[in-house]
Amino acid sequence: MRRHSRLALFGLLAWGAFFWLYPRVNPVARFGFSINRRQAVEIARQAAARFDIEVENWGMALDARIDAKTAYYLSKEGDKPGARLFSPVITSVKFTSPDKKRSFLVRLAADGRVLGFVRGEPESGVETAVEGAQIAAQSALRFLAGDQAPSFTLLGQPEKRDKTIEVKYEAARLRDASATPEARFVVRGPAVMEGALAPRYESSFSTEFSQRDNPLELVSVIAALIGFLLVMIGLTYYLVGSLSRQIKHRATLALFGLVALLAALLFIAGGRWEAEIVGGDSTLEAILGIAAQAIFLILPVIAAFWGAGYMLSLRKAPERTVTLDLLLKGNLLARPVAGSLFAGLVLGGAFNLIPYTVAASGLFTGAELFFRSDPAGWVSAAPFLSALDFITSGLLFGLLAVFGLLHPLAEAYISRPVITRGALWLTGTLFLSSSSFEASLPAALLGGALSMVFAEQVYRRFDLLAVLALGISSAIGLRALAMVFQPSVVVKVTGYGIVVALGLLILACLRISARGRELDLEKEIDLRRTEAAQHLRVRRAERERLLAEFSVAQKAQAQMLPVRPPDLPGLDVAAACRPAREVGGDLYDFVPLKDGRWGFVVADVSGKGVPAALYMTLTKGLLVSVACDHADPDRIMKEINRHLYRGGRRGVFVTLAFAVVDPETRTIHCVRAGHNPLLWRQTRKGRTIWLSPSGIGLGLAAERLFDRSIAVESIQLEPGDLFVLYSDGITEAMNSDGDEYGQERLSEVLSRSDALEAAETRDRVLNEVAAFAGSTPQHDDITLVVVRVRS
Amino acid sequence: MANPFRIHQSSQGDISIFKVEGYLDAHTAPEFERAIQAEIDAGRHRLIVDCEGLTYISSAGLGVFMGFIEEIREREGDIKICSLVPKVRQTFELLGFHQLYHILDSLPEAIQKFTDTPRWEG
Repeated sequence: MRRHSRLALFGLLAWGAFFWLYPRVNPVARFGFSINRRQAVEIARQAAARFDIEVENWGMALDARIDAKTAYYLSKEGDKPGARLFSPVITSVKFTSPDKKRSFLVRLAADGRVLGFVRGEPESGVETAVEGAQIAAQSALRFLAGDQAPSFTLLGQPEKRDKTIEVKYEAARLRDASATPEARFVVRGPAVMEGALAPRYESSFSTEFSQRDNPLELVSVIAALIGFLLVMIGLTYYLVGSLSRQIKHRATLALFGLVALLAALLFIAGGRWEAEIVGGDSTLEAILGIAAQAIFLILPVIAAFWGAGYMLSLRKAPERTVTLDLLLKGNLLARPVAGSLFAGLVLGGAFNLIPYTVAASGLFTGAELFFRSDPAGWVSAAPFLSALDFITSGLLFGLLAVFGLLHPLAEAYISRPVITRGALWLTGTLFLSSSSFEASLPAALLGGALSMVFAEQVYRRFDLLAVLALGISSAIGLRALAMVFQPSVVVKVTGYGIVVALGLLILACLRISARGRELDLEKEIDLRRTEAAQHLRVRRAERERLLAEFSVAQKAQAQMLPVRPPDLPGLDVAAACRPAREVGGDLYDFVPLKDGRWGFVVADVSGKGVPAALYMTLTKGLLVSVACDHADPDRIMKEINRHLYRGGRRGVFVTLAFAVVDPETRTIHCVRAGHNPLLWRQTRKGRTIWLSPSGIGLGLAAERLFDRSIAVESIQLEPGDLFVLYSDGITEAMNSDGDEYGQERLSEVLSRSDALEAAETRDRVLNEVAAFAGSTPQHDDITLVVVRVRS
Repeated sequence: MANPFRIHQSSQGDISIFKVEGYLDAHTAPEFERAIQAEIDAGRHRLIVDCEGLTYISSAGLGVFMGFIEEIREREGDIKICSLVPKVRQTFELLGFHQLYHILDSLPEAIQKFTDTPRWEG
């Protein structure tokens, strides 16, 4: 409680200082906006009457906006003669006929002077005489410039262009003052019009100033780019988090709903709506435009900065986001929630004071602060609602980006605190300086950096909710004071009303934070921490389970292979199976047949992973059991195919090379079911023969077709000869260039191995294939059975 | 991925033609499977797979052809394969596919084959 009293005292003093400093620093206080909605409409009606336009039952819409160019000019050259001819706030009143074909728009200065008007009439096809346009222009000049009209002189002849006639006047008095600005009065009328002359008038001025001089444009552009980048990063996180079910959408949607509700109030009752109509939009266009902004601007920003940031914060610092989350879940009257709100709201004055002190310090020439937002609310039917304009505040966007997303993101991924802080300050400074200053880059950067330091302190001592409340109260305060210092009674009183409302809100938060519902914040934080940890644990456990499954499958595959080759008289046999990274479907085996011969097999199941390995087990089982009853290789194949085709899944098949070896006679009868050819090296003749008897893969075709396809090839081995069965993992082993090892390389290495024993031959092949592939990952098992006839 | 898998689908009369390109392996096979399944679901059972642009086919890719052939042939249709590049042809032949399918040199020949021998008479 003592902490809160100290905070309240400090906050109040800062607000007071800000109130004192505001009119001394911010030129908005000198705008002199002295009319209100009712008066603006009355003046516009009188102007219409001067031109005999009956607007009694026409539709009406008002808008007021800051003419940025004039405002910027006045901030630099406000003391030049003629400056007061221009108004930084321009109020537009637009009347539209019920059939929407005619319109009359009047532009008013801050003090209610008519600055110009535009008359919209349907075109008729009759050409306007140049003289007629000149007469109309003179009459308009008299109306707008009043007793100053004689000081304007015609600038050359009226210019007739394609669709308009332009009559230009210049105020000679101001030119004599030999100082910018020049006042220029331009009348444009359509070249084609209805019977009666119906010109459009507008006053304009030309100065040598251009807003492009503003050095802060670049800072704004950089800040906007970073903002866009952050939104994209946040959205990616949000999507990934949604997919892995780490993100619960409820709080995000609640925040969006809250902001959308305020936006709807601001737009529909608070003047923005009328601004769209004045700008020329139809009602439908205005509705669609507003809805599109809500969905394409507000929703992504909230999802990115709050949704994704919240998820990230749970890992490291749930204590920074817990109160906002609680608030969004409806705990408005809980003590810790109100406490954070109070701290942020009450400190808004101190936060605003920072750039104002920099501007008032006198260290920076031209360091003026600008009220960038929309005074549309001042002339709206509900001026009080212009306080809601804070939702469009760039400052709030910046605070949410930096503390909502960037801070937890940096904490999660950058291990060195110095870099984390540096990145945050840099980004924060860019965001905060571009949203408060105009005209002086050093002042803006200093003010932005100091504001960032302050905001970070609030974030560290309190939390994200406090930082957002800080931004909200700062924005509301700025908007209220801009109104308080206008001479217009309605606007001034509304401004004070907003100040009082903000004060009451702060008091309410203070009260709730002391007397509100108890809520064990530590418990809530623990809850969130546990939940995040649990999620992590579940994911880890799932991963471990999968790995365990893989290792079981891999072990099973390894255990299916024979421990050692059979010891056969006269034959030297060696074999190997090198599984690829994934669990594969290769197999080799030596099966004793009932007639004393041996069946040697190398097989490969289509596909990969655990399903292929299971299919391999099935194949091995079939082979062993069929071999109990049959000894002919083609018969064995036919039986296996019959079972696989009937019982297996379509699309899964087994290719297999099978050789029935008679150790006594050294004859081999081999079959090939869709598998790579078998290799026979006739050592004495120095010749290599590929054996490729016909045969379809197992499990592909029904008996009738398969049985016809399968053929047996028989060979007679000589001493020293080599017989090899292998899988496509060897011939399709790939190097980094994408070349395959191929049959030719295999045949070549074997032709160099005539003097080697079976095991040595096997190892040489495996080594050469490994050397060929290098570090390129292989996707297929490598399997090889080598039979050497002893000399 | 340097050589992504793509399917261009067209039709000629009641024959659906799939022009496949790139790598057909375990990763891309499901896409091909869905495309064929969609044709069967639409009651179209005369399919040609034009493999002119197919640079690699793995065992899983070959499995796709097998997964549907019985059903298609039961419904009086067929899958005919054409324009294989040598390496892919070798894979098909190694496995015995030439004994299971009509494999033609060009697309026009494959279309003609549906007129001459609409059904597989294995």
